[in-house]
Amino acid sequence: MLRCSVYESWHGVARALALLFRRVRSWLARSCWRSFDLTDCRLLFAERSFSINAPINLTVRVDRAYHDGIAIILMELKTRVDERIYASDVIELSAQRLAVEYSTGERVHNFGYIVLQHPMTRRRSIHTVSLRSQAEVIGIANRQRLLVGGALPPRHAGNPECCRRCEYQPECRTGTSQTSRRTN
Amino acid sequence: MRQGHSHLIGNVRHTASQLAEMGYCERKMLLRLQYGPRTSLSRFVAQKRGTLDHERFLSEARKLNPYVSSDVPVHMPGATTTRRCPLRALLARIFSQLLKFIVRNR
Repeated sequence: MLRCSVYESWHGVARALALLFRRVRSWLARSCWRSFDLTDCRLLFAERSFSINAPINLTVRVDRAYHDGIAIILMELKTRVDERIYASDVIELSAQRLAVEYSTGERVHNFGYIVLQHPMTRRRSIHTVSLRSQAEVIGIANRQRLLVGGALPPRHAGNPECCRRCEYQPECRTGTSQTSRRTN
Repeated sequence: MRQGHSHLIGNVRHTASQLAEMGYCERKMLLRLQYGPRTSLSRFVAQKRGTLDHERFLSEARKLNPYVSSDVPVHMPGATTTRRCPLRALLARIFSQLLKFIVRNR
C-alpha cells in the first residue's frame, strides 16, 4: 500500500516535471520568435516562387528567406493548433532549399525555421529543423514518380491518427496493415 | 486521373507541397491523384485561414524590409487570395454547391 502511494507520488512529480518542461519549451519558442526579427539577419525573400529544371523539375514558394551573412536561411509558416513538426514540413523546406540553392546560386543553410501559429490566439513559436540533403529530396521526387507510374506499391502513413482523419477512408479499403507502414 | 494532376504523369514537375505529401501518406497522395482533391469543411476553413495568415506574414515582412523580393506586388491587398474572409468563402462555396445541385436536378 505504502509502496503504491510512493509510486503514485513519483508518478505525479514526473508528470508535473514533464508539464513544466513543455511549458518552458513553449515559452522559449515564443520568446525566440519575438526576438528573431531583431537579430542581424537580413530579410531577402517573402512569398517568392522559385522554379528549377535540373536536377529535377521543381517549383516552390518560399514564405520567408533571411541572409545571416554566410548563407540563406529558410522559414516556413504553418497554422496549426498543436505545436508539432511533421516530416512533411521538413520535406517541404528541404525542397525549397534545393530550388533556392539552384536558382540563386547562393548557399543555403542545412537547417531552417518553422513558425507555428495558433489559428485562434495567433501566438507564434519558432522551431529549428535540420533539412534533408539534396540526394534525399531527389530520391523522394523519383519515388513519387515511380509511385504515380505504378512501379512501386505505396506505403501507409506512419501515424494511425492520419488514417482516422483522412478524407479518402472509403477508397483506402486495403487496410492499414502494419507491414506496409513506414518505419521512418 | 484528373486533369489538374496530369502534369505529374507526362512532363514531371514537382512542387514542394506534392513532395511534402510523400512524408504524410503515399496512399493518400495517390488517391488524391485518382479521385481529385477532397477537402472536409474544417479543412477548407483551415486552408482559407492559412492563406490569410500568409498574407499577414507577408505584410509583416514588408514592414521589416520594404524592398523585400516577392511575387506579390506591393499595394495590392488580397492579391494572394480571392476572398478575404474565411466565413464568406465558406458561404460562397455552400451557395455554389447548392446552385449546382439545383441545376442538376431541374
